[in-house]
Amino acid sequence: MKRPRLFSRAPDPADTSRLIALIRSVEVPPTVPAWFSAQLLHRLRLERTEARRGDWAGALLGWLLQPRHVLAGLALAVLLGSGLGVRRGLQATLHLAEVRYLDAIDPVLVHP
Amino acid sequence: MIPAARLPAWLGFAAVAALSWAAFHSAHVGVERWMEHRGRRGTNALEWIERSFQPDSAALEAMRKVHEAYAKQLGDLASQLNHERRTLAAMVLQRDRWSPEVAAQIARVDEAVARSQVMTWQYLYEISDHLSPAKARVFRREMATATLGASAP
Repeated sequence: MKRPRLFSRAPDPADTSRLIALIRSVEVPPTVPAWFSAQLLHRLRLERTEARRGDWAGALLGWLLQPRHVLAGLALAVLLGSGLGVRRGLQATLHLAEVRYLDAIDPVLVHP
Repeated sequence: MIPAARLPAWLGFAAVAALSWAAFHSAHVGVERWMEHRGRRGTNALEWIERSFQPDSAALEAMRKVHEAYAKQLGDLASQLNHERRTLAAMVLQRDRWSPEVAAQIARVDEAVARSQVMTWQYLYEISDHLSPAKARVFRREMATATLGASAP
């Protein structure tokens, strides 16, 4: 299938040079408004900070999720939980022993 | 807001925290049951002293003898005091007006309290005689706080 031609004739060099002159004559303000620059800079800074923070969190997450670190974390969590539980249990039994001792020796305490 | 990509990791952390809590709870309950099973959870009268002040075996034996010697008298005083208190309560419920009998009963309760206090502190001093002076001071301070509600200076 034959493609349709976009131009009926070859561009005239004189028209082209006039067009170029016209484009050059248009004055574009060399600077953007101050508010625009401020906004742009603010957003750039924000994105940079977020990207840095994301990288830091991602790196930490990546480090933590290595299999040996996961295993170590699990072991540590179980050990820490058990240790604190044993300590708490011993404290509770000691307190109960004191209460029972007092109950046995102090007649002034009200016995319902 | 947690990004969706990191959700599994956060769920993993939550699971580890839950596991840690489960370990804590199991250990806590386990220790209490084990102590109960061993008969050391207050069923031995001097368990608290033994665990808190760690006297040597001779001192512990001497304390046990003191405790046995006083146990019956302290028990009798407790029964008598409870009886006097119940009598006073019944009297107050029965009588609508003040009477000298109520005053007399209050005096009997006070007397029973005083006798109990004397006996208790005599006992506590005899027990603390078998501890080192520093431990004995701590022991008496603990007892004063617990039984008299007073904190030692």
